Amino acid sequence: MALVKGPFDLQWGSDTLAGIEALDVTYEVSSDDLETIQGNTYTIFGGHKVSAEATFLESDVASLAVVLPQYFVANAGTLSTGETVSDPAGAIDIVPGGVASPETHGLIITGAGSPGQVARIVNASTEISGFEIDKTIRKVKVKFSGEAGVDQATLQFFKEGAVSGVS
Amino acid sequence: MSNIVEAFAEYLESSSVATLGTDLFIGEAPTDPDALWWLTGNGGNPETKAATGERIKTYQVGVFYRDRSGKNVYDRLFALEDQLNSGSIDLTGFDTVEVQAITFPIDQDLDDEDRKVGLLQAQLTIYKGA
Repeated sequence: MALVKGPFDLQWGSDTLAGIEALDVTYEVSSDDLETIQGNTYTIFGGHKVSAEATFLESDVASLAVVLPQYFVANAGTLSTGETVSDPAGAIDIVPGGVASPETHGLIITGAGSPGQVARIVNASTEISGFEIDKTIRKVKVKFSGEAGVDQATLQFFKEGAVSGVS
Repeated sequence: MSNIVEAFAEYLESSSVATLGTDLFIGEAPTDPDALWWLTGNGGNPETKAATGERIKTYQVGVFYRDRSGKNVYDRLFALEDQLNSGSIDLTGFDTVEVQAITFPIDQDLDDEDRKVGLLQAQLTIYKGA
């Protein structure tokens, strides 16, 4: 038994994510309490939901384009406000409700060590969840929400290399 | 690779404050000339550690100016403080978050040859990728 320490490597699918100040993971399991006339109380557990909010220190267009591809407008493309993008890095254009099926990939969080300990949020989609200016640095928050399929795990823990073809 | 004090000296040179080796020195001040600047590394600390291993680190640099004229000492340091605390400064070779003067000019004492010495403290904050 041992601690799982950082620094952590983060990947969303095949893309490595850098400059993440903090990752705030929320795991919720819904439940209902049922009481019997005999005086017993039973807790019935229902649906599981997992999400992770990452605070990005590196929040330039190139960094955001990796985690918010649904909102990326390439060079020479047109923003929703009508302007043409004229930069090789492109732009991010967050249009509410503009994406029918956002990309989903596993969010793979690997601790230090070789092999490291891995936590994977299965089939995570992304959405912007916040933006702040902290004195001299702009930080952008992106929420990764697990969308596991039927009979599929929402969250997995394993040692690096113990599972083949992790994505 | 330059260290952070050398990078700051390079900035002072490029902004025409002084010339390294002529009237700007690192670590110690020579006997001549009378009017000159010197820089000392005064430690620092890590400010932020990101979950993915990157760090924001802060370094302190002592900036000394010496002159026969007390007024010149204060004027030169006053001008430098204003320069450091206005706008955005980049240090070559470092991903610079911020450069600022955190203690304003202080008149120090006379040296052995009755020259006046003043000091301000600069703070250099950089971002170091993993």
